[in-house]
Amino acid sequence: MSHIDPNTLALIALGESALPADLDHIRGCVMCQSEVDELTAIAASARSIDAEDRPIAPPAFVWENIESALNADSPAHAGSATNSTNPANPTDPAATVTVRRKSRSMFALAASVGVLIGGLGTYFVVSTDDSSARATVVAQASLDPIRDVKEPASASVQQIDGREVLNVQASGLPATDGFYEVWLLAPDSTSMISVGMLDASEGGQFPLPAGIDLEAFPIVDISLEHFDGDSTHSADSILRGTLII
Amino acid sequence: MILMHTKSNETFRSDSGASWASRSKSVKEEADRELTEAFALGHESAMRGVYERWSSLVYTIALRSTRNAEDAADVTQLVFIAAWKGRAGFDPNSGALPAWLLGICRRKIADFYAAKARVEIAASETVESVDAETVHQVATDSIETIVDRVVLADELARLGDPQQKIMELAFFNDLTHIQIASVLDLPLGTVKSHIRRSLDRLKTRLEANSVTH
Repeated sequence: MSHIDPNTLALIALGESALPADLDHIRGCVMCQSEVDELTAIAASARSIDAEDRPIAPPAFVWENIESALNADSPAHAGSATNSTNPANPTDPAATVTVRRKSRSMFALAASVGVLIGGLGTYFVVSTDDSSARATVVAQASLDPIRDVKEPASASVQQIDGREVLNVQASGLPATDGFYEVWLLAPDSTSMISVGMLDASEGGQFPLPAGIDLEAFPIVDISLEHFDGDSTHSADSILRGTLII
Repeated sequence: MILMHTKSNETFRSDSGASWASRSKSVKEEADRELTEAFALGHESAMRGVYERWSSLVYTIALRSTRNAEDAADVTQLVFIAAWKGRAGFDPNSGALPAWLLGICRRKIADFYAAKARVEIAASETVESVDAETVHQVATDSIETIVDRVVLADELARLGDPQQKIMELAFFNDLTHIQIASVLDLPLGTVKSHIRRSLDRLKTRLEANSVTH
């Protein structure tokens, strides 16, 4: 007897009734039987689909974050932070708030465990125009290379409208597959606060959480991090220095 | 390097012209293939297209897995950044781009589960009551089930009509092909062959996406 028509096998897999002779053949035919089994499994899987399985597009900020992450990493775009199309443009507070909040939120829970005191939940952007007008330097540090860095780097904490902002000046950081993260460490390095991600080409400004005690966290540390989903310090420090208050 | 890519992409193109492809399908497949080529060659402009084509898939799988829109957005972001940075590791000959993206997606979701488990273990006094291996296995199984379902839902939506309508009536309304033919006013033979081809297409897509990378 010849094999069952492929279209008929599909209907049988969907549970439609079939001729007894066809069913007999299938039972005795490894080829037809395995085909029915395969299609039955597909049908069963498809039938388990519910409304929530239907693909929906991610919110628009996801692409904006990806684009700015890739721009920041691309040598062609390095130094183009003033480009108005760049969502991470520091003069665009709304965009930057989203970028910061989203980029740290994923493993915020994990970060709260163990040695971490916790990252910043929100990133407040300080207009560079204002900072030059009303900024007072309250602490300074020179950052010493731990490895791979030739250019000297420095950090300072400014008080701007009652908020403290950490400025990091670092320009000689090597290109990386990962990213640079800025931390404030306790003197014994057992606890730390993540203050943000550093643009390797430009340095950056990082508003500090209100009420932070800089004497308890006086060490500025720049680490090289990888896109591994682990929000804890990589233990791979590139630059480090102690703030003189 | 460029020569090698060009050669492999030509092979890739000629291999996938399946005889049963409908016109709409081959147009879509051609677009996917062009995107894949541009991505593999490192064209920055391809990233946007890749994102537009496959971010819904990644985001929905992440959303189903994490049950949290913010975490799903984070996973999606991590997947596409990792994909772009790791594009040198993508070989168009060893599997399709969506399969490769979903491989990254699985790993990012597994990382998410692991981070969550660490929090739960740390928060719990009874560390020994948590069997990490069991937790991991359950998480892995559920990711696979979710991936299969979302991929099938995606492919179903891409079948185009009347195939999509036919398959929805068959799967979700449990209509026979005779009833479907009558509801949609289509010849019986057309409905039968659409059912077979659509099932094959769902199967091909599912197999492509379960390739372990």
